[in-house]
Amino acid sequence: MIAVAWAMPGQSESRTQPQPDAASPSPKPYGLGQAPFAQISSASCAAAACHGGGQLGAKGSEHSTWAATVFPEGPADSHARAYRILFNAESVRMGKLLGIAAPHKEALCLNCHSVAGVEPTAAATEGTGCGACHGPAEKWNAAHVQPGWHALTNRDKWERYGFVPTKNLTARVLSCAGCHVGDASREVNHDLIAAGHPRLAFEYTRSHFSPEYRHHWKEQTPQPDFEVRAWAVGQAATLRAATELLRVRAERAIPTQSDQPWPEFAGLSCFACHQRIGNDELNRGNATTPRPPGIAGWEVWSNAAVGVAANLCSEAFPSVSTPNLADVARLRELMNKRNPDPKAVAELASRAVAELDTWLADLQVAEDRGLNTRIPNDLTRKLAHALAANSLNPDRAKLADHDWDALATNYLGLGAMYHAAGGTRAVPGWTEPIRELSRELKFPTGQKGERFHSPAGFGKIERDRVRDRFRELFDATVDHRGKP
Amino acid sequence: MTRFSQRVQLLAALILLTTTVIVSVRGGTSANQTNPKSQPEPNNKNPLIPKGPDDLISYSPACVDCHGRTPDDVKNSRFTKDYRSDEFVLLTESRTWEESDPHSRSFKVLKEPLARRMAEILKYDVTKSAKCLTCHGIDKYAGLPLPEGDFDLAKRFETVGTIDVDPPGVTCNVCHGLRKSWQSEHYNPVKGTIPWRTLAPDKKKEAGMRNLRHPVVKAQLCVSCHVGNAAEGKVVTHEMYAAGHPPLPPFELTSYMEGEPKHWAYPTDPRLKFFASVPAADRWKLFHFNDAKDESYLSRNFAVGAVVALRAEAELLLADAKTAENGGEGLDFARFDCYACHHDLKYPSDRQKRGYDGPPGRPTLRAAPGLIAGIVAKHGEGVETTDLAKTATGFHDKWIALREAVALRKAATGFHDKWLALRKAATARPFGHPTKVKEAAMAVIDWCDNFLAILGNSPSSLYTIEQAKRLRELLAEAATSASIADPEAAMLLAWGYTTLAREAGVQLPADRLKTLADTVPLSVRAEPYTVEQKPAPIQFGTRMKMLSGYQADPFRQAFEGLLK
Repeated sequence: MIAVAWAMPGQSESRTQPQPDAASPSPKPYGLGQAPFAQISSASCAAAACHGGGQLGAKGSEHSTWAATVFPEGPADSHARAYRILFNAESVRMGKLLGIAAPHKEALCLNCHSVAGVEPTAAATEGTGCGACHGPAEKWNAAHVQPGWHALTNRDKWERYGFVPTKNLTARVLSCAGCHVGDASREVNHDLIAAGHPRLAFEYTRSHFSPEYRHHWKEQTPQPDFEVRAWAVGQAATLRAATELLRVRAERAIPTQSDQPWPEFAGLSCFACHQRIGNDELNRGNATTPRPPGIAGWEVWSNAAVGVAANLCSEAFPSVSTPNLADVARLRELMNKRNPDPKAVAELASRAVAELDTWLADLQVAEDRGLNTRIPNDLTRKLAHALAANSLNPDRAKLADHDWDALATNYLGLGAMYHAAGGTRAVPGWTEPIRELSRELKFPTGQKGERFHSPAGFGKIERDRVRDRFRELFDATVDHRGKP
Repeated sequence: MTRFSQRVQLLAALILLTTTVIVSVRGGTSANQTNPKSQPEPNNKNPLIPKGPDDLISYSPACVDCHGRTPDDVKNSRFTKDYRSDEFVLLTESRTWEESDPHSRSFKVLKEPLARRMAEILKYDVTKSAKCLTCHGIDKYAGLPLPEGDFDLAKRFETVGTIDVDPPGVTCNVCHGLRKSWQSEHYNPVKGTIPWRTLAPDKKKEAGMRNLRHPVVKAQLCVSCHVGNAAEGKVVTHEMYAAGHPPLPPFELTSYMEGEPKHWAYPTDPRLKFFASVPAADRWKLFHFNDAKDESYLSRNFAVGAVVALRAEAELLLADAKTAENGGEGLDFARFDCYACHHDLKYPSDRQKRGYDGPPGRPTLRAAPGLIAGIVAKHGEGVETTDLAKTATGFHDKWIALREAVALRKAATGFHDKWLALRKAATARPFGHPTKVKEAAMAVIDWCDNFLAILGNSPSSLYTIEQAKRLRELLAEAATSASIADPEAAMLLAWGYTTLAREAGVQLPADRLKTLADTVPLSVRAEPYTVEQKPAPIQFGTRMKMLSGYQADPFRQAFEGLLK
């Protein structure tokens, strides 16, 4: 039973996924999906001589740093608390609404909130333990302390041992996306969200640099290179995971009598629908939104800024060329329908995934070859400029897309570039508009203490202000000759 | 208990046992049947549809001659003098329509800023598209050639080119009948025939005049635009709403009747002396009303309107489900409860408090049409057979009233399950499970048809003074016992209750009405209309703020206050 549970996603990646062109299969990055080996308890990593050294943040103390109990003060790793929150009042209420008696026993929840299929099963209480991100340790647990381990290529470590080489950003972010975007066996759909699960809105650098997150490792790549590359890889990997999830959902919906949700609202822009209606001014009034009225955009969150990453990735990853994302663009077009034909979507999504895999494989290879060359000096500025331009229409009179997700995605990219560049000391001119954007896009707090999970009251006036901030950033990010 | 009422109850019991036999007899005895069945008459056989270009009524100026009088004019009109027409109609109809009825502006609004912005977003000319004109300017091409043979109105706009003259909007003919044939006949009867006004409704229909005194005919006409009718190309889609189309207010016939600047009057209106002179036996047969002391005119209209509106909603669902079965896009978002999706996300969550028809996270159908029709059904199921017999005189009429009561009770049963099945089918997956929706919608339509067959045809007083009181009590109970989460449902309850209470002479203190009006608008249009006053522009923003700011608890409390 457990074996089946963990083998399924592996199958969907490697066997059942239709190949658009069998003669020349597109290259695939390693680290996709879940390796078909057994998971073991994180307790076996926690020996004092291995990763349980007991010194916060030190090498050899990875497990001690990760665990919630060893150093209870300060920021923590929320993965270690993933299991325990299944007992809180919100989880219990969610369970009630969904007809789930005990969320902490439900595979649907445990697949992400613990290590799926971990042995012994009691180890599930550890939360999202080591194996969830680093791969099931059945094979590599013994091997990774052997002398020959370091000589293995990353691809070998993954393919032969099921080890996720998280030092490679592509493998790492794809691994994150398994839960934080979802895949065939780990899925937060709209039924779950309606019952109270927070929506998934993944952007790697935001999570990485969150002040609330306690790292149990030290990054080797210096700034700004690390953050610029992580942002670009994050764009590609997030959209890849979202597109694959769309393909899976479309496949399930193909049979005419299928009861599977289609279209899956969790893959559409939340606040396209979840807004109060009836303002005199239409929200799209000051935007050139590329969707018909009344249609919630498909994965605007993962699509809005990916073009910027694609156009400029060759500068951050030498020898990588601009990817071909023609089928991704066609898929976006096809998804601009209320209820698109699932068969057509499944076919096109499959081709779009292949395009994204080719891109990700290129990025991955470039990283593994060793990125000794630093990124160009003003790449953060150039990317920031491109993101500001991306959020506006060509003459900058209007927003390119009025959807909150599009604005937030562009803002997060700009925030990453600002942070990578060194913040207010390095680029003081960006500070004010970026802080303003953050304030405008923030969810409000209710007068009676209600927590908002949506940008309540974010209307045309607020969007006008956001547009002006993007314009300011556009102007602030030209180079010394006034060029992009 | 009197001997008579014992006999009546015995008879009622007997009838209940033999319902099937009796119901089969019904058809033969009831005159003036209206057929609300789902199969519409084919256009080439429907006498209301013009037979060709030469059969179209000329545009409304022809009507103004007689029906556009000032009140002073009326007295001096030759129709008043020669025919006492003022005792049958008001003769000021065209003026009322022109000066204060929003229907007269239905095309003009397509040229206003809101419509222009919609056109920009929708990327089509709203003053020319059949999608808009089917409701907003149905008379646009009157007088121009019509396509040959079988045609429908929607098609008419596609095949005929455009003209430069602005159409006058929803004119006399749109509602009363587009065909030319009745135009002269109705004021210039052929010598030696029955005068027009006492002609049987069927005969008037044959001549092309729609029988708007009939509650079912009237309600069906109203809902064709105010709810929608896919076969006639009258559908407000979510795309239109997203582009800025104001929301259609929920439909409730009597509040719409009360809210429309009246160019007509109820048959019970003392100004129309003619109706009082109609022999009791002919009142229903010719004009579809009973004496005010026997039956609440508005209660019957309320019940008919509720069921016709639900039927129209079910037809729209059916049409969408059929296209979905053939690979179409499924149920339009406009078929769903706006507020199931359109709300801010916050915790604690009002949406979660409302509960779900199926899994959480699926759009649910609009609650309002089912809620009101459900109350009418509940009322019908509980009709006291003996109460209905009280108003009838003579054994034969009492027997008919009993028979009608039994039939009403029978037709009313089963509503709840059918409506629930439709709601579940609509949430089986997003946009509904096409086959399940189709089957469930057809079952709801059948229920409506059976119920309307009685409401539309029974000459008996079904909504006696006591029964009308019960109906109001059920409305009040629905408004106060449960939390009404849907603002449209709350509006219908408030509208229906206050309209029916006013007819019955129930005191509604102004201050308590004001408290209720702070929670929902109390009329279809918030703005007052008078004959002297031109229609105010729609207070779109204000109206929308009331909708989106609606809160269930204050509504319930205000309604409770009204009942004290």
